[in-house]
Amino acid sequence: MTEHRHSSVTLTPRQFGPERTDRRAVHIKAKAEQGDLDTLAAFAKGVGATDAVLAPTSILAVSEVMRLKCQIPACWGYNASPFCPPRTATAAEMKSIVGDYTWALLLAVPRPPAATGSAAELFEHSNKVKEVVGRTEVEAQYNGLLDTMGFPGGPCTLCGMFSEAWIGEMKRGADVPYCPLIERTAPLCLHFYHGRPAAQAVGLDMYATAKNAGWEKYLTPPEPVTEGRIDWPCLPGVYPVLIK
Amino acid sequence: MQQTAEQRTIKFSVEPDDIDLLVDYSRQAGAEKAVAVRVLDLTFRESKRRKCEVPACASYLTNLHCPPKTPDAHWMQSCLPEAFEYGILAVMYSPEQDVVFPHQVRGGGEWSIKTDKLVERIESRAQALGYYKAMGFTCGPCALCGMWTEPWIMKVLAGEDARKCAVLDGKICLLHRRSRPAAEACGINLIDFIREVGLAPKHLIFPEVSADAVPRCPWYAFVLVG
Repeated sequence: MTEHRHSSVTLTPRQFGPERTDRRAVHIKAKAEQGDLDTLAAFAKGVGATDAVLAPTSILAVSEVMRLKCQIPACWGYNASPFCPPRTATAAEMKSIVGDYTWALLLAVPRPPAATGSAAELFEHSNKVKEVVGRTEVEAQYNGLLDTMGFPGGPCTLCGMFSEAWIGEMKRGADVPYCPLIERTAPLCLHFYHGRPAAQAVGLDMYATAKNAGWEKYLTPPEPVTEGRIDWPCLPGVYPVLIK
Repeated sequence: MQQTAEQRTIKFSVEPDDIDLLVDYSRQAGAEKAVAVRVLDLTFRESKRRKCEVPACASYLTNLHCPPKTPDAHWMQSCLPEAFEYGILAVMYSPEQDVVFPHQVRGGGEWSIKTDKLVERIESRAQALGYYKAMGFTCGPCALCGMWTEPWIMKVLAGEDARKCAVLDGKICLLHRRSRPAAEACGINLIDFIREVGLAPKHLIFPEVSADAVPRCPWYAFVLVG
């Protein structure tokens, strides 16, 4: 019989973004105005994006193969994270979703070289990407663009999964706690409005998209699997925020 | 040799020299034969995938990389030809006695893992060349974590608690990125393609077949590049 030691690791929620502040009420806008888009691009740079460029959504490359790359070979997030396949939108669904939007604000959050070295650095970088994309999306919503959607990279880490301690215990074969929503150990996720799927997990090919935008300089290729290092191929360095 | 992220490039179309390089590399990595195939020449058949179900193979529904968890033929046909230009087909041969009763349990698992490793090396090499979408397919069910070994099967037959695929339970597989489905499990009609090009016929091997009749059994590694 396979013996498992129960892990003492608990899920320690990660904190994202600044303290809550009161914002003025705004009317919901059907379409973004040029001023909104310029302000949003500047905001994204202010919260950590290296660069931000606005493009029509026709620049986005959508391919089911990118989503399939989460499964073949299987990433750590596959079926273990609520925002990873098989629970995410398919490429066909995503093509339909993209068709509802006019603009893609591309955010460059390139992976620092050190982030390819250890799991902890990789997860730290993934969290930074989530914060930049998440805050930009929310800022658009604060300005009336309610339907704005951002797609960062990496599996959901909000509840503390994939922390260094969690990974260490998991690798030692201990029974570590997983996503409470998937394990049904909690009635709801307390990080609602913060979780988002990675762009790749919904079939967005951000490598091809970045090429279309002339942004190859911000891309980081995935680690070849035989190099033996942990990697999430869904952290290419360029991430979209869809705006109507 | 490891490359840093800065040293690696990203390619958006296939360079013919790279395909020759990958074919040569497949042989260096352990394949006895290796050829490049055009993805447009492949066919996709749901009947191939459903052969995992009718009659149900022992590994059906037991792991992430066997049906019904694998993508179906229609899905694959809709997305592979537009994403990939070439496939590298590499073949290894195992002794016949490794894959017939009573050794097929142990030998089959071992050769399946050898094929997994060959796929992994070719796919990694393609990634290192810049093909970020490179996607590999192997033979047989996933056996990397110890499923399908002789002790595991003895436990199952004895009704003892034996290891189950962690991913199906929503957990993480520590061998993530090393395990892949068989091409047929996703409806890629590789067997008929191989027969058509006369590369290496697959035999039906029953316990009654003598070693002389089928001296060697082919194991296919297939890696898409685009």
